Amino acid sequence: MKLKNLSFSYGGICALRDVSIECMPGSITGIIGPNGSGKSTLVNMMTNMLPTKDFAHVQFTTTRTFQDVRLWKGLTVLDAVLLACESRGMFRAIISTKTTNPIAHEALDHVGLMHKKDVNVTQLSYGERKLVELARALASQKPILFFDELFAGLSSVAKERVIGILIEEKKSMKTIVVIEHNLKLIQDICNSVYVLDGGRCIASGIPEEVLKNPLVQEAYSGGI
Amino acid sequence: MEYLIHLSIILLIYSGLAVSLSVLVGKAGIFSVAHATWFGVGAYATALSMFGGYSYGTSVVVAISVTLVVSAFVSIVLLPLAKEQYAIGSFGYSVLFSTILIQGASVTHGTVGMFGIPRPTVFGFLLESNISFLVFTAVVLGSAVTILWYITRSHFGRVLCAIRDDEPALKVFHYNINHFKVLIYAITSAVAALCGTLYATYVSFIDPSSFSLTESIFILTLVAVGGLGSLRGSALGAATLMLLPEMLRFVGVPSESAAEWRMVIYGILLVYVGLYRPQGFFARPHLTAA
Amino acid sequence: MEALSTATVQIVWTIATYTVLSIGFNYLWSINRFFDIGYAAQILVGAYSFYAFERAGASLPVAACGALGISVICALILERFVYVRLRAQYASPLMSLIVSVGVLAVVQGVVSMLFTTQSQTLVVAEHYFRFSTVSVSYSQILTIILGCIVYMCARYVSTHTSFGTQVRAVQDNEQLARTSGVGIARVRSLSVMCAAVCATVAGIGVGLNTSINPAFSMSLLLDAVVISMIFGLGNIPRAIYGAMLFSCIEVASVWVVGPGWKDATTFSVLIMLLLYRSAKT
Repeated sequence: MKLKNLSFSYGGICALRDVSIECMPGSITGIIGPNGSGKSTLVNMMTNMLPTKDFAHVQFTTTRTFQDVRLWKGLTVLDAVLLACESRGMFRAIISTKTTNPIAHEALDHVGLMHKKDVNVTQLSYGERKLVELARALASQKPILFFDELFAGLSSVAKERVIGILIEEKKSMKTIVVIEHNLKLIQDICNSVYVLDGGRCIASGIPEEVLKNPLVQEAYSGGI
Repeated sequence: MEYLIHLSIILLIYSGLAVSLSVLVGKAGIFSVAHATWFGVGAYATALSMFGGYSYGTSVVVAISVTLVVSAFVSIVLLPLAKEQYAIGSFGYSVLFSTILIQGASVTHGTVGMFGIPRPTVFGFLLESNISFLVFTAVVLGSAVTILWYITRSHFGRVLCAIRDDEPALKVFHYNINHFKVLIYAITSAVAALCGTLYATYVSFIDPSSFSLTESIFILTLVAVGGLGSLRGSALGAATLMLLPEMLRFVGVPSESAAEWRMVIYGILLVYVGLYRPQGFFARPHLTAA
Repeated sequence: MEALSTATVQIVWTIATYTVLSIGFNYLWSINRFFDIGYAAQILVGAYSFYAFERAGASLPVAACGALGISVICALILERFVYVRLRAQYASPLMSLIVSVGVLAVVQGVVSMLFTTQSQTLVVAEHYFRFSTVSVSYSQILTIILGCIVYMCARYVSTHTSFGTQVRAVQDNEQLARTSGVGIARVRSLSVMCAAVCATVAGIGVGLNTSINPAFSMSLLLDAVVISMIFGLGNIPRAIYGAMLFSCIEVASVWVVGPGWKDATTFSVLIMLLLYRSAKT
């Protein structure tokens, strides 16, 4: 995925300004930055939640999870995942009464929630709902995956499991983009990292070097 | 016995209206307060068609076709609006429809209404008796409700729930949400129009007051009380509230003030449901559409 | 010339009535943030209370004060027992709309039982004043004067008092307003009272000029929604501009297409406004 000179404004407020990002298949790219740096705007643009003329072709190859978990409260776990892998056409949707799908089952198995497939999503814990979002993203089978603060709220066991899943997806030549505040996690799993601040990209490269960059330290962690 | 049959027919028609609105408002989250408009389009299209010499079958096809086209158009026009604004917009076209019915007196006979709508002839059999009409209504509306039930159980129904609960999140998965909304709006409006065709040929008289905003609010009451998004709940809600006038008569309320009492009780029920039982009286607790 | 003068008086009267109507709706919108159909119920309560007092032999000022009192009390009771509970359970705008429809249905039913569904006139004997070619009724003058007073008071309160600032604060961000020390319950109660006063004045104004019946308030409510949307919901000082524009459209539509299409024209304007605003955001 090659994004060049990405810009976006909310009315008069510039949220992203000439941001260029390159992510390779079979890699995990991290995007970090303080609050309001434009990370969510970037993800929203790439995943069809904000309009973008120049990169519309990218939107069809992406999927994501949300920072604030967004599952549909009237659906069960399996239903929520099925939405990602079933037919998009409205007429085919009418005639489709399938309640199983091997792709959905596999995704739920991966995250360890197969035993809760018929449970309404509102009855799950926060961490479980995050895992359902992950399963949903996996089930969509898109080549580019955006994970927005996926690890927040997960137990250490669940975190290990999720890291294992990400590494597996990376080996399957998926392009993975992780938005995180956990710098240790970024160092552990990411091949490269981009740092945003004030809508601009202020640094990029391998995590160890980027995190030592004084600009990054000043912007992200207050120079500490 | 005749009265029970009459009550059953009216009950079935209003259950059909309630179930179709329940799918639209409860399942898809499209808050339309103008369902009676499509009820009226079906009734008037049928009446005009039958007075033009066409058979009942042809008239139903005409009525449903007109409804599908017009409702799809209205839905497309109002699509960009947020939920509450959509409700206000739907008030608007309900008033527009009433105005057209009243002002277009040369065609619709205005406030005088249209009398003498003939009973339908189905496969050469004239449904003159109420019992035959009841059977016919049960078959037709039973089929329509079954189709709606099937739709809600299909993947389409899953998508409708997602549209209702969090439409922007669904955009990520590249569903053409507008198409789904227009289609469900057209389908539920067509079912309302079908109810209109049955109503017109059963009571043989229609006028604009039968399809006004008040009627739309009444249908919404049936759904809210029964349970938004619950097909079974909406049908039971319709049955309960349609029997209310009979219950009022049973407790001795004079028939002159029955309409006013009905309005008060419906209003109290709506307030009670909104405050204490938003899922409705007959729906399961987790089915909270609103 | 006389026709033009009559039309001018009608427009001025319409502007005055719609301004008051819109101000009241905007007060409710500021605190509730949903389309409160219960405002139509307040219009009914106000108008019919005035009618009841008048029929009991009260003079116009006494009937008006009595109507205002009853309307305000009813509004506060509704706020306390219905809307507070709705907010406490974080009801969606959809459910709030349904409840407000229920409130209107109850009030309409009670009014129909007490006063029948027939149209009622609020004035037994009307006086007319003639100025050159202009003929103005006493009730029209009264409505115009009341409308001006209500507007000037609302504008002053909105722009020069702490209450006006607090209403805007609650409208923008209730939580932040609460944290900043704004008494939310007090602001809500006062806003509800202002809305009730406006609803009553508007209802009486329309009733004096035409007639009232249990269904008339719904049409007025929808007019209030359209007018409020013209210059932005919750914008109290600009309500008069919306009323001016709307009145001209309405009077023009009556002259061009006839009175029977008045409501249809109103709604066409409403739908176009909604779509325009939606396209802007």
